[in-house]
Amino acid sequence: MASTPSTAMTALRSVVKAGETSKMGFLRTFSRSAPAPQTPYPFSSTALSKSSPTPNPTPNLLSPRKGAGLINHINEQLRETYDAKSLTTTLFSRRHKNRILAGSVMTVTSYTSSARTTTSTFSGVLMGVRRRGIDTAFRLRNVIAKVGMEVDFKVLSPLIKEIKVIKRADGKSGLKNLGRAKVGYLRERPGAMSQIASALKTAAK
Amino acid sequence: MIGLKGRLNVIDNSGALIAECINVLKVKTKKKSTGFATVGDEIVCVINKARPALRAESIGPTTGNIQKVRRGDIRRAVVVRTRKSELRPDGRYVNFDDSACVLLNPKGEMIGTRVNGIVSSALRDLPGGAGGPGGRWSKVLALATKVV
Repeated sequence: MASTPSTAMTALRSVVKAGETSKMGFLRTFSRSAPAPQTPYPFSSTALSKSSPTPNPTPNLLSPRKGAGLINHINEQLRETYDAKSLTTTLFSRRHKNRILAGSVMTVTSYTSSARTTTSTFSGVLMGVRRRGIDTAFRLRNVIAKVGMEVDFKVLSPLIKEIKVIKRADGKSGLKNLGRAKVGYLRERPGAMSQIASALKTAAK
Repeated sequence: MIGLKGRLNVIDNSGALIAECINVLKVKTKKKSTGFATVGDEIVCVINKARPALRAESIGPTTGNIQKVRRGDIRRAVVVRTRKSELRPDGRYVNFDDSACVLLNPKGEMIGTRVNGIVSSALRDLPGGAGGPGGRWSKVLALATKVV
């Protein structure tokens, strides 16, 4: 290497000053130009205080780190339009404290046509949540007239009027925490299903 | 997705219990027949299992459920439930725990007089109005315990 580390650093710093922060974001810490303090530090006049948080720079979507930038950006934009109730970030998220767990009992009221005049309801046990950003869906299972029926609902469908959780499977409010994300094994256990479904009847009363 | 050798429960009171599909009839709205039937499609089936036929000398009042079909009979049927998930117009996917059909005569009218069980509401939304009021399957929809 011909150039010494110091000259290389100076060269890089000037590039950083030019404003190419996104491409060489890791060098922002070496920047000489400190932004003017907007909130004065109350306990000392000489101390430099952190400026007010700068807004997030527009992510460089063409060459993001680990390739995840574009999809996340698209999902964020789509969520603003379609997820007014923030369902994907609360009820159907992976780690939110109020996320629904498989085995819970839910009711979905959905419009039957795009005219949004009549509605139909479907209640059932949550078999699992399929998380795909805008395409997030969940599956409810119910037994109607001795015939089992499963319905896949798209969470952010504009034709869904209301998603109501009747009983959560968290081990506290009556239903056992089944301890897994997908509970397809309940199809072969009608006893367990009827136990869970009895929560529906008590809720209806 | 009922194809050749696909087994269905018969949910009317014609006397048949299990039917096996041997042919899927052409659907006019589809350009090319896929060889598989879904809810609302007509199939030709052979009766694999039927309720034992009552003997003529049996004592007791006739229940009204006169045996109309026997094991080995070949009849037409309309598929009313499938285990394969079907896409509803509002974006939902619905599937049932079993596949079921209702038997028809060669003219396309129901053989039985009652339908025991639920029927897919995809029967209602069929193109060409087959499921609507006055359509081909209006009787099936009217007789079903529940249309889901």
